[in-house]
Amino acid sequence: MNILAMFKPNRDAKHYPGFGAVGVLFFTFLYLPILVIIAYSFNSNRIVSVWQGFSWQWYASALQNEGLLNSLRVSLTVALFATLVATVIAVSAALVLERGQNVKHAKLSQGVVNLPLMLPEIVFAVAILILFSQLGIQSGMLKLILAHSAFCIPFAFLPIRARLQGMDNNLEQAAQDLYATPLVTFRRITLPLIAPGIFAGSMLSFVISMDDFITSNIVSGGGATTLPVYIFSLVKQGVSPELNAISTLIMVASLLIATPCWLIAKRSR
Amino acid sequence: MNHAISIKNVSKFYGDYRAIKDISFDIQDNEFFTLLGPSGCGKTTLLRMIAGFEIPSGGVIKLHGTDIQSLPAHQRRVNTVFQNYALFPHMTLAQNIGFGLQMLNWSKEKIAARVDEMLELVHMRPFASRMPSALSGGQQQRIALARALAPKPEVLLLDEPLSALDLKLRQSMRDELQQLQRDTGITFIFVTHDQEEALAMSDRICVLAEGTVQQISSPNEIYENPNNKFVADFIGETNFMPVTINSHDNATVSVTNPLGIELNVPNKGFSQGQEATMSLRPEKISINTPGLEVNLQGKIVHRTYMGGYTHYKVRTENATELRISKRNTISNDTEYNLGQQVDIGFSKASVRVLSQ
Repeated sequence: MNILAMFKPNRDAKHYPGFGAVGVLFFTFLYLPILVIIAYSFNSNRIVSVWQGFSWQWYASALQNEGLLNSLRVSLTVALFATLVATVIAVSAALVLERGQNVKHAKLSQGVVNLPLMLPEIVFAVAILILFSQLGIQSGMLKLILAHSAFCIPFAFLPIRARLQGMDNNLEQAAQDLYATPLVTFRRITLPLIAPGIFAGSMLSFVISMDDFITSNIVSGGGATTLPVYIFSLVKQGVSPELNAISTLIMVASLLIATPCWLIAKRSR
Repeated sequence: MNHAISIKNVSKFYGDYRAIKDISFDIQDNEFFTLLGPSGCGKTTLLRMIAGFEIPSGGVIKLHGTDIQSLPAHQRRVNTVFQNYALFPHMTLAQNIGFGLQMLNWSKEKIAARVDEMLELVHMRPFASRMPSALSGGQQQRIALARALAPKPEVLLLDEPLSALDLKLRQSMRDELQQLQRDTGITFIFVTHDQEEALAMSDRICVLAEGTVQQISSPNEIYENPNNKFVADFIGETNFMPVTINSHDNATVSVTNPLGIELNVPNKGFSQGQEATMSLRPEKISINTPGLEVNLQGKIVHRTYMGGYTHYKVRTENATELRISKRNTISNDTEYNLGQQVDIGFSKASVRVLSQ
């Protein structure tokens, strides 16, 4: 075989020597810990690393754990509201920055919208903690929602802006040319066409909010603990098989949500 | 005469750049009016100002006598056919055509009837429930036309609508557009950089260059009697020769020219000693045809066979090269060979003398 042909740029990577081995190694590294957690969540032994026999008991105890269910409720509520707020702000920002004419300080505004992406989260969290104490906000839930809304905005903004960029702005002009007011143009033309972007952006915000630990941990208090913060408190008491069951349940839930989203995204393309 | 559009002292600046420089003209009702010019001449800017997508920096635009300056685009009874068609991709063709009617609060029955009528008009009835992405360029073009015509606008604006189509389709769409304009009786304002399109369809052509009007006339006038060198150059082909205005009286001037012929042309405000340009269209010159006013000797130096006609380049005795276009009227028509000596002739009435 010609050695040079191997490195032709258009050659399919699948045929590179060692592709299979590296691939197996990669997926093992990525998924083996997850498989171990799933397997041991069915372990009847209280000592996590010693297999005794199959059992559902940790699932039963997880689902009856008041603290766990409470933190799940907090996380879902926070994620829902934060997503709502972030998406509305992101859509507005994207419309102004992409469609507005003669917008002053457009570059700067874009930078501000995306700032939470560049800023180390710990800095953001401390800053917002100080702000809240200055404002005298007491409710833990409100603090969480406000903080999460703030750092979710760029995650909602980026897919929505990308969608607007890909959309021919002649379409909006055509609608106005055909007697549609700016508001009707938005509702009938712009909104349906950027809907996939809004969907992707809000999904991303939701996941980022559900997943957040640093900000939630620093801001929480006042009777609101999110799921990641609660799980971390469990870990500090030592890894229990119940934790494995909780992790497995979260994974299943994620898959159940992600699959239809993926299917919708695939179809709209 | 009723003016569909009246443009008075309109200008448009983008910062320091003057896209439109103090333009004034009127467009008659029920006219096929073309804005023609090279890219960057301001024709699209002008169209967008009429549509309401751009605000003039100065001047007045009137639609049937009403100043429309303060009206936003959605309140102007003017519809646009966009260059890239801009069909709504999430709506069927029928919904696309009905959109404007819906916005004007027509009843459902009236919308359905009008949509049907428009689909029929552009020969697209079987496609009513298709999505725009399932159409070819030419079909999208027709739907864009139907959509813009459906609300019966006072004026239809067309922004280079044929430029994305291939040659054959473009030619047949020309005829269709012209027919549509006659059938609907709506004033068409057509923007193009293609001089053939402009000549083929328009009642009147407005030639624009660098934001100013060069000439507004019928296609025939524009081609036969261009106002200046730019118009003569932009529309069709021609032979340019530098000339000097010699003696002159009030009616005519005599012109010294490189062909060495005696030439008197109407005095269009020329002054003695002025440098000017003489224009002679290639098809106005004949080869080996006796009995013409001016006769010169020359040698064929170049030949391009184009099927229906042949282009020659002839060098005259005084070393001027003239492009000559000859129709191939009968098969086995005489072909002249390179280097062959020929007589060329034309009538003095074909010559135009233009200011620079």
